[in-house]
Amino acid sequence: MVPLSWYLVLAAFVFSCGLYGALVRRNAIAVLMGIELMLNGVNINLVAFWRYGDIIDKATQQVVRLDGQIFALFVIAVAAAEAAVGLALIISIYRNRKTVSLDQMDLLKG
Amino acid sequence: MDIIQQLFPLPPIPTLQQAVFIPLALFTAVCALLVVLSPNLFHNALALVGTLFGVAGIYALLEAEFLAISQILVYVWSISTLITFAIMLSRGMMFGATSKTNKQAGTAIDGIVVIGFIGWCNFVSARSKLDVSIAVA
Repeated sequence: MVPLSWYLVLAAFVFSCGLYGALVRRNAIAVLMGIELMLNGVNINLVAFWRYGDIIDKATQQVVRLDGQIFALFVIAVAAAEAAVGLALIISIYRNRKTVSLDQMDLLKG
Repeated sequence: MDIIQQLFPLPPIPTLQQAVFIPLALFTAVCALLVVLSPNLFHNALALVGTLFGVAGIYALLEAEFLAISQILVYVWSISTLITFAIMLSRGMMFGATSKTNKQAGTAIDGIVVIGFIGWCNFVSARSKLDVSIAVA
């Protein structure tokens, strides 16, 4: 049996990598990749806590709770939608401004 | 011989699950580092695919097979394809004189230290058999 803390350490590491990428990179696509990494770290946490919680009903011996997996599934779906919309925005900005650098995306600055 | 074994006890033999988990987690972690540290954007995308595969393996190890399949279908196929297309459609702009990172590295490392501290507290509390429900209540 793998201890729960191993999963938590891995999830924290993946989340930290994603946070670093999202805060530090200049390229908008790299920032999106960092966000995907953060969502994956969160998903590992959700599924690990789902697996190590009391999911077995003592009386009927059946799996009674699936909320961790459902949350993870929602996160995957939202991440897919977010990636589609975000990359479409990036391509649109690239067509207009010929750049994908976040420092030069100041169209709304007034 | 006995003294040597007492002084340097062998680490406990990992179970099969642990023996699967350790290389899988190392692969995932190294790929996650490559995603944010490699200067080439295309290498970043390839490392992201590796990380997503590793996370799918972690799901399978946690007995969430449906999520593992969903991860491969949604992330490894769809999102990696989207990202690769976006990189190829906006190519040539970021390979130049400007640096790949901005000036927020200090702030980012502060945040990461906080996250790492929380993870370390998790690890220590799980090690010392603290009851989590008491800590929450």
